[in-house]
Formats: sequence, C-alpha cells, structure tokens
Amino acid sequence: MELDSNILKKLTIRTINYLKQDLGMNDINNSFNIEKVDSIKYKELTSFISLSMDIKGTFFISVNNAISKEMVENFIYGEVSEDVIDELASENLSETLNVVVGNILSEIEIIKNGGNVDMSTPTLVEDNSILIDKNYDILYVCKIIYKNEEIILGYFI
Amino acid sequence: MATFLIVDDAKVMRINLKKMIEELGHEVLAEASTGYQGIEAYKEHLPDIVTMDITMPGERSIKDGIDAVKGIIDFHPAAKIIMVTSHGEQNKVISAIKSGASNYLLKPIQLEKLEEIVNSLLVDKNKSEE
Repeated sequence: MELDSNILKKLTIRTINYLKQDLGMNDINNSFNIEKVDSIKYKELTSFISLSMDIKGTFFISVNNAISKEMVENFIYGEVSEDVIDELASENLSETLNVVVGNILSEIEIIKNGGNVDMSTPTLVEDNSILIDKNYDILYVCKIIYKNEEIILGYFI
Repeated sequence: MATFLIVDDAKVMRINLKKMIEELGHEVLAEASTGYQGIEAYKEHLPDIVTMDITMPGERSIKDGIDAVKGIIDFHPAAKIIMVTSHGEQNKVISAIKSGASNYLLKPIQLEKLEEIVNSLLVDKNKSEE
C-alpha cells in the first residue's frame, strides 16, 4: 500500500504545477514539507473531496480569500469582471481541488494496478476557526507559499 | 459554426467553457447544472454538441453525467457528447463512452484540445449527414 504521505506529495507537486502552468501564478515557492499533525487551523476557504472504493480518505485545500480570487481570475478564459470573481471564488477553489485530485489518481499504485476509485462532489467550508482535532487516524498537511501567504493541502483518513 | 449545450454543476466551469467555445467561433445555446436539466435542455434546443460533466448532484432518476448521456442517446442516438473529467474517474469515463459519449476532455481544459475534439466531431457529423 502506497504511503499516505506519498499521496499528499503527489497532490502537492501537481497543485504547484497547476497553479504555475495553468493559472500563471509563478510566484509559488517550489519547496514544501509534509507533516503528520494532530490538528490544523483552516484558512478562510477550505474545500474537501472524499475518495471511496479502493482508496479511502479525504483531501482538502485551504486558502485565504485573496488567493482564491486570484485563482478564479486566472482560471476563467479571457476578461472577467470583479462581480464574477467575487461570486465564483469559493466554487473555483473546489474546482481546483477536483482537477488536481483527479489528475493524480491515475499515478497512485492501486489505481495503476486496476483499482477503482469514486470521487465525491467537493464540499466547501467558509470558516477559518475550524480545527481538525484527533478524530482521524492519519492527518498529513503540506503548506506551500505564494506571495508570503500559505496554501494548505491536506489528506486525512 | 456549431451549437452547444454545456452541462456542469459548477458555474465557474460553465462560464469558462462558454468563453472558450465562443472564442472558437461557436454558439452556446443553453446551459444546465444537473443531468436531468441537461436532458431536458437537449430535447428543447437540439445542439450539435454537448459538453457533459461526469460528477454532478442527482435530480429525479438522473444521478450523474453518465445517466444524462444515456437519456440523451435514448432520445437521439446520433447525439455528439464530450465528457469533461479530471481523469480520476477513469472507470466512469469508460462507462460514459460505452453509453454513447463520443469523446472526453481532460481538466484543466486546453483551448487547443477542445478545438481538436470539436473539429473531429463536426467532421463525423458532416460525414454522417452526407
């Protein structure tokens, strides 16, 4: 069974590449460190996607509002108004997680070997006070830095 | 120029796809946010091409994009449907193709790849109409 921290490493590398290559956010720092933790304080917007069948667990991405707005501005093709950016910033964070999680699944050993996986529709939490406590067996997080702000990626089972 | 129906529960994806489709010189006739609404919109507008998200909230008996493909193909077997996926749901893509979808498009969507698939579907459509 592939190490859970390795799955988060794949997600982090894919996220960095996606933000740089597809969204043009070139100020992302390439270095990152994966930690096993007992709790985490979310940023202002957090999106979750759960996996079931041959892989079980939940991925999340957590960012502040300013980064989520920059992400949607860069995601939508062509010009986009401020109103649209404000309206779609949170939904776009979920779409970002959907893309990067979906993109890495075929690189995971169990799927390469013919396993199946079901991805949930993303769920969004808009509350930076929530903590994941010790309710899970495994909780890994990884923080990547963009313009001195953290983007938190996580995986728990 | 071809006409399109976009079926996706994420408004941000519908807006993005619409802008790309229009950039390629085509027209989006309608958008839908569930598979059920997608089938109804297809029957009303009869677009040349449908883009269909796979994972969407269920409505009535249509639980996802694959069910919507079946519903559209039942109504019009020659319908041209492009599945839109981040590839994590590879088993579902295969299921959608077996159900009658014509092709699939990987997220993040690249304009050039969208153009390539659309052009191939239009060639197929023109051949079948000759």
